[in-house]
Amino acid sequence: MSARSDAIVIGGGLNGLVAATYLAKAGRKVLLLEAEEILGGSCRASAALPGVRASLGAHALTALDPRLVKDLGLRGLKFAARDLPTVALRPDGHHLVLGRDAHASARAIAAQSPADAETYRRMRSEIFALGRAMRPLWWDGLSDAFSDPLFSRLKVASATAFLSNLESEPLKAAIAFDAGMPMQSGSALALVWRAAQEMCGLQGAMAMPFGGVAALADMLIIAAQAAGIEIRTKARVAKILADSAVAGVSLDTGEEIYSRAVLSSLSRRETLLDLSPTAAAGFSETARLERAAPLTGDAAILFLLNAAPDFGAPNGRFLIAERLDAYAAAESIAREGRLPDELLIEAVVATAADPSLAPTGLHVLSVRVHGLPLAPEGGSAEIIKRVIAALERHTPHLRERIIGLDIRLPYEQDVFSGERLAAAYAERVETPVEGLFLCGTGAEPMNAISGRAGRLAAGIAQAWLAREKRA
Amino acid sequence: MSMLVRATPFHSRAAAANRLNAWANRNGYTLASHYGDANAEALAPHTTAAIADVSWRWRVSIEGARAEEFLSRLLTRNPAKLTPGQAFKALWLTDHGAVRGAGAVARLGRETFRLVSTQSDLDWIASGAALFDVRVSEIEEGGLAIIGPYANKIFDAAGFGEALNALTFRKMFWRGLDIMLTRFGEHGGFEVWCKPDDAPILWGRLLKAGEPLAMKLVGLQAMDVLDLEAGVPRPERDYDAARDGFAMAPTPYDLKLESLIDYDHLLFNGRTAFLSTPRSQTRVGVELDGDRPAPYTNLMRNGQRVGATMNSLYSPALQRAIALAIVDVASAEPGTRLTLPDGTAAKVVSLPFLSVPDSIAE
Repeated sequence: MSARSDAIVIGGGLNGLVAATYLAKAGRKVLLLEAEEILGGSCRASAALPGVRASLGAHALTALDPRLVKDLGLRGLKFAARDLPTVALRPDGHHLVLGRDAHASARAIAAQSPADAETYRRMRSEIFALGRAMRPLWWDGLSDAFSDPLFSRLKVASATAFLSNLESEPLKAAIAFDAGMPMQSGSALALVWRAAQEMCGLQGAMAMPFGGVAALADMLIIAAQAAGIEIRTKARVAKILADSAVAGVSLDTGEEIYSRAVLSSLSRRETLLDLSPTAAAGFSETARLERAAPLTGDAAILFLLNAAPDFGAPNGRFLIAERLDAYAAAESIAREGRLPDELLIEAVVATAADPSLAPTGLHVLSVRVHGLPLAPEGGSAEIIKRVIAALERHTPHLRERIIGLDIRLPYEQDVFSGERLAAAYAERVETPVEGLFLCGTGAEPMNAISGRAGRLAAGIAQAWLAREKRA
Repeated sequence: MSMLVRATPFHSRAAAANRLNAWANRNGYTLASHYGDANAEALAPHTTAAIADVSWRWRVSIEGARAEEFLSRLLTRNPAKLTPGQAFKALWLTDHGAVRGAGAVARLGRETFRLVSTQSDLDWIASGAALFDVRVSEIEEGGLAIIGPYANKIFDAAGFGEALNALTFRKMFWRGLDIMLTRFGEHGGFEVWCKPDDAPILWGRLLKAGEPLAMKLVGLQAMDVLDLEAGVPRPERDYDAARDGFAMAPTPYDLKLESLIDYDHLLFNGRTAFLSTPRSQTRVGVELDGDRPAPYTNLMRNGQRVGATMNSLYSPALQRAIALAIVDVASAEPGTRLTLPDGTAAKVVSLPFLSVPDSIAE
């Protein structure tokens, strides 16, 4: 075995790669452990569809950290679409297009509710202004308390309540898609978080990189290798070794690897309940985490098509969510393990912006289904059947065009909470175990591909390593 | 814990001896407050010997293949260092390093431990144990403590055999009874535990063994005075132990219980938080000017509040009122002059005020 490293990073997904690269650039000896054969985590290109570069992790980016693009010199990152408009699909064909042009959006909304056009404009500028003000917290992890009265109100408000000033159900349902769980306390702040993000210099935009998110992962793998990180694939971590402080990890082969710090890309629950020694998080924290078991999650599906789907609208981010109530209904049904009657769907024709994502003449429709049970009855076959049925109401003859598909079932992620969203990064990155940090999904305020958790966790771990002069 | 007041296994005997019908509640049990003269009872452990019903102590059995691992995570000292027959005193802390409980932990076997405390904390210990698949069960037993300079002689007179060292115990079959002898008390002496049904027999035999040595039956008041004189703080009576699992107070420093923490024991719950806790307050003894106790009263120095008393009682042995107090470290030096808000003078003294002699020089 090689000499003991300063830090072990568990998981070679985007955040794991980012955290490892930042630590290595700061002069630390880093070992990255990936359970699978290939790096990239959920960002890697679909393995089930040969020749397809689209990924089940995400079809587009909404929250990529501009700092890491600059710091890690990702000069190859180019965008095929810089600002996909949101298109709320209606069965009657009167789709609601919400784009960058506020006047165009207002006109589209006014067609259904003139009052909403004004309310939407005001709400959007309010949220965007607060989003900009919140960047020190969400971009740099600074914990200065925000005294903004709107912030204090939104961090406990539900998106459902916040949107109650609007009349139009399709408009409310479309906005609520970005709120995570729109019935939950604090979900109103999720809308602000989304507005605080910036893609290609545009606030609250959704952008698609050339080559998909897999291209982003490839660039990060190259950056990680250039930084001199030791990488081991097919190395599944079974346990985190710790007494008063972290000591390293053991693999499922029984091999023990020692290090001063461990950064985990997994969720807080998986890291502290499944991997750490029993009750290492503390008796109360362990009990709290056990109670906070998530029951629902998002599923992703890639459809490979031999003809482009036609939604009867300009290319964008298509949403199927007609009523705000559908979120609460879906959540309560999903918690019982059943598939909701009204599926909440986000779909993007990935190849419309970047044809290189599929072999010539073929098309990729990338779909995300919101709030499904973690172990749905009927399994993936039932989900696929229901998703196709829902999509065919808006793009007929989809079924005949499908020549291949890949699916990622809902998986466990830390449950959304307004408190977690309003907390400083350090609170999400640090754990009760000294030297054990979260650098991935568990440290992000919202589930999104951003890399900020990796960058900020590396900074926090680096400061800890510098302070802790243990042999 | 049930809210019903329970009788101890010695209740029938205690009721017969309780001439003034003076009762008190402790940890859910009815106990004699005194048996006629609380002041005389409080002097007995300093002069001859005292016998008291201690069945009200909370006792649990902790068993399972991972019992040692669980206790190692729970307690501020390492149970792996105990061999069967040994015990130590330790604390258990909240996730954020506040004192949740204190007690004696004895190792009965490789996978069997017993924990004794003056306040029950079943929720915390049982839910923690469940994470390790360890069984926790409360034990109902009769217990009598014998304290004082003649305690060793009574031990011999009763025929308990070879002397016991402090913080050890022995199970034995004694004249037809299954008993357990322990030396866990803060005041020397020893304790005898038996099955509830055997309690009246044990009571009769021990009182008889102590009679020639002027052993006195003492109630809860005298035992509280004894604890206070010895500077032993008890949860519930003297301080509010943390009950929320994330509570940050009282800290071990506030209660001056840091001696029950093994800094080399790396595993215990709340360790990291405890290590970063500042030592800003500590526990001291306070002698009050006069006979009147002043429990839970602010302590002033030059017009500024510097702390507060905990429990306070009149000590017949010291002929004055005394108190335990939590004060700022700057005012903890013995000899520091303080005042109560009503102007009564008070003085910081080192603890214990007075301890029970092991034996009397003859």
